[in-house]
Amino acid sequence: MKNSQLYKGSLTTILMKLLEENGRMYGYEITQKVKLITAGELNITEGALYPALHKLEAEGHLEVEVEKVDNRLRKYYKLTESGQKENVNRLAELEEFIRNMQNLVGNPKLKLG
Amino acid sequence: MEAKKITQQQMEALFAFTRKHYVEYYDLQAELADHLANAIEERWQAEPGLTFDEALQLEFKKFGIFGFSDIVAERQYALQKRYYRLVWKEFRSVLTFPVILFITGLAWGMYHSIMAYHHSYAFFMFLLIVVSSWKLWRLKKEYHKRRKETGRKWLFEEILFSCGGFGVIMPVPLQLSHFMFDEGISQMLAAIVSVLLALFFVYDYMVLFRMPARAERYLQKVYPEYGLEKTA
Repeated sequence: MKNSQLYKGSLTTILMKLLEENGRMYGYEITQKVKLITAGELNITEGALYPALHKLEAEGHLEVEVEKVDNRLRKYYKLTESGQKENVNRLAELEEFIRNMQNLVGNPKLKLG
Repeated sequence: MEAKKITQQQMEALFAFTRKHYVEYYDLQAELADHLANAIEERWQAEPGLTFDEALQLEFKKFGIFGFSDIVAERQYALQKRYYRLVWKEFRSVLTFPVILFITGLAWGMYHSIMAYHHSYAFFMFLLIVVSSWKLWRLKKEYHKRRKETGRKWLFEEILFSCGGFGVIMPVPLQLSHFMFDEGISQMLAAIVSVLLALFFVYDYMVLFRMPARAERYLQKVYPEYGLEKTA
């Protein structure tokens, strides 16, 4: 993932936001969607994506649906009720973070350090 | 020209590929094989000249130098955690008034028995260990039978039937016995041990009897494809 340290902490928030907007998605679809939205700037690696999805699933924030597509089993993830609540909290937290960072870094009058 | 699609044979090759890279469990194999299939098909749209193996190697590289191993380890950790959340949930659901009364009665009975004759602890301990070992052995056999029938390994099924690694905590009462065989055991110690032992009996019942009996229901929830595969 690009600038991994900065994005890493936001991975689950990104995943939950995508699922909120798209209803249900499968792993590969998520990687493609992120690439598309960020015009190829952000690339979620497979090695980070699946553990994050499985963790959210184990915590009860996501549930799965499986369907046979092209004779292949496809696993879709979607938000549970608790996932929806968690999503709202995390988005609020992220927005606050962005605001604070903008104030800190984007303010030309303020000198850091 | 129509874009190339993954054939059934290539799909099987992808499953074999995940197995070769130490993904033992079918649930994860299916997810990763589908991922690779999608990625290869997408790549073929841009580079139709690539062979299946070339495209597969290029896509597998994206998983990094550790390949699937991190994903497998994290999945194991996540499902263990889910198992213990389930144990806790089940525990709360069985904790009705009659059960609390039963636990209290059991602890009370054992306390008096230990105070009257402290070696009676050995009897309770062995009862617990013998019953657990026997049941654990039965469950192991049942799990192997199920695996043979489906021909597949499901991670959550394995956790359920090994009772979340119950073999490791089974000897805990034996550890407690260090305190029990000294002369003149204190009332406090006897009371604590009796309560712990009574809770241990309940935990035993939960993970060894109640939860494996409900395996089908849990597995269906964790793996919607579990039923799909059986009927296919």
